[in-house]
Amino acid sequence: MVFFSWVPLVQVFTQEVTPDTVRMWLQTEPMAAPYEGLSPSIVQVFEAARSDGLPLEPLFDKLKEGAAKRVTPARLKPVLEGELNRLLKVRKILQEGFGKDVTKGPFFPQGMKVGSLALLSGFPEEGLKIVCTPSIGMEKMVSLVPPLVEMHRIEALPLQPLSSFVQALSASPIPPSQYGTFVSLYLKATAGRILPPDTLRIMTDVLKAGGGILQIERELARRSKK
Amino acid sequence: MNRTKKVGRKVLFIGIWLTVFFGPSLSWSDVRVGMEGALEKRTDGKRVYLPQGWVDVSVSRFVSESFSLFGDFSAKGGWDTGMEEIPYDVSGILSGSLRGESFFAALEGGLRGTRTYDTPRQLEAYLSSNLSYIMTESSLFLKPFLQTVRGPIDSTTVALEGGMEKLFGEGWMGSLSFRPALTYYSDGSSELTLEPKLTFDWFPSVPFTANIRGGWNRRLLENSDVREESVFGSIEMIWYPTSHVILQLDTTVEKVYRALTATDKGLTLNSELELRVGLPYSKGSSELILGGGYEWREYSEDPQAEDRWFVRVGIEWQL
Repeated sequence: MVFFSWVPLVQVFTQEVTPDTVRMWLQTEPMAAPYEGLSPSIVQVFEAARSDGLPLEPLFDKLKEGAAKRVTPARLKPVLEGELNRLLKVRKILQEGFGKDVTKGPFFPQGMKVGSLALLSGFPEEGLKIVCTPSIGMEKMVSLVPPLVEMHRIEALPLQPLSSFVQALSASPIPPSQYGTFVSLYLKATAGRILPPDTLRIMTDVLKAGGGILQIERELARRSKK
Repeated sequence: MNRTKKVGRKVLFIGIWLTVFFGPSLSWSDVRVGMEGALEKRTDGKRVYLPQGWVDVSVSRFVSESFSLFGDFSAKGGWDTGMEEIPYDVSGILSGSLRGESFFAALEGGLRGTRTYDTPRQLEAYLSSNLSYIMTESSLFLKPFLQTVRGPIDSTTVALEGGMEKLFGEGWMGSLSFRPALTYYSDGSSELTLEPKLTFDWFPSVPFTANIRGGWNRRLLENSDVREESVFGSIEMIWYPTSHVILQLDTTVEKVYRALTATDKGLTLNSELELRVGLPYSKGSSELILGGGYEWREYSEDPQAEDRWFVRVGIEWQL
């Protein structure tokens, strides 16, 4: 079950989270009361994450969201362990894509979070690897993954055309703040019965020719079945 | 041979030439078959059933990064309990597009044959083009159009639409265009249509999109008398509310405020809804289609409004 949203990425990482922070929160927070008996095993998950060198903020966010949504105590620990496993996978992908020093970069916590959310939403690991390359860079990757996950949710993105599209988009002058527009463009193309490989190919070719969102929309509209 | 027939033959010749030239270079890419049952209440009050089936074939070939070829072939037919003959709608479209750093050029040709309850038999052929000059966040376009219709009323239409498109804000696009069109009828008469149009598209970062169009349409007879004058507004929305569900709503309102006969004047509301639901375990290759539409028309000098509605349920497979 997906119980996270993409929205508060910026607000989340304000202070460092430690297992003690989590222990304190479990003791004092009223909405954590149902999990009182689970407190030691929950803290254990956070300690395991710390010993693996993972940032604890995404896990802590997951805990708070689970508590806010009143997830049953029996489900909470498996959910946290699932998140821990995903974070390990994402860190490996980020390190393979951007190098070992990626963990010291300013966008690492956000990269971990969007990567984990992507995998949780069913976005393929191979797709995430395509986006995690030095030519794209961590900053653009953080803006690119959420729209790609939404697009994949509408209709599965084929990996080979996705790779060309991602390269063309990251090299284009389109600012990362406008990447979200591709979600609704992709939806309109899908509703217009254009196959995903063709949609991505049209988008890629327009971007490579120096075109932008306006030209992509017009070419997709031309290709859509009336 | 009159001018309409001559132009019609030329368009047919170009269509055949395009098919022969482009056909072999296309590869089959998407074949869909479907069937549906529809119940329709027509404006004359009759209720009819329409069990129908269709085959849609789409082909595409990306010859290079700047040159693409596309083809769409569709055949739909079945029964209409309000007709003695079998209704059909068969069409084929071929198009090619060429893009460069600051231009886009496309050429499209299509043929369509239809037989419906209100059109005994009709064949349409058209050629359309799109020539655009592209800047960073805007473009200028010209769309020449040529169409010939063979049916109860033979006609040939030439049109040239010109306009500009602009991207503004995040996810908003606007377009302003003007389309004059001249139609020649086989009885020797002709008609000029003028249509300025304003369009807005909204593409937010969520799975939803909206298109709002509005315009004015004026049809003039040869002697410059106004045959009809109207304003229209239209909104189309596409929404992906949850997994494997696409919802489309298209609504148009048109007000005819000047017409040759008083009974042509009036207000029309037309709305259509379509819901496509991907069936489980089919990996998106089959969809359930639920649709409906309602059209309401009121004439200025006739207190009795007329309406038409339909509901349809269908299924489509992607082979």
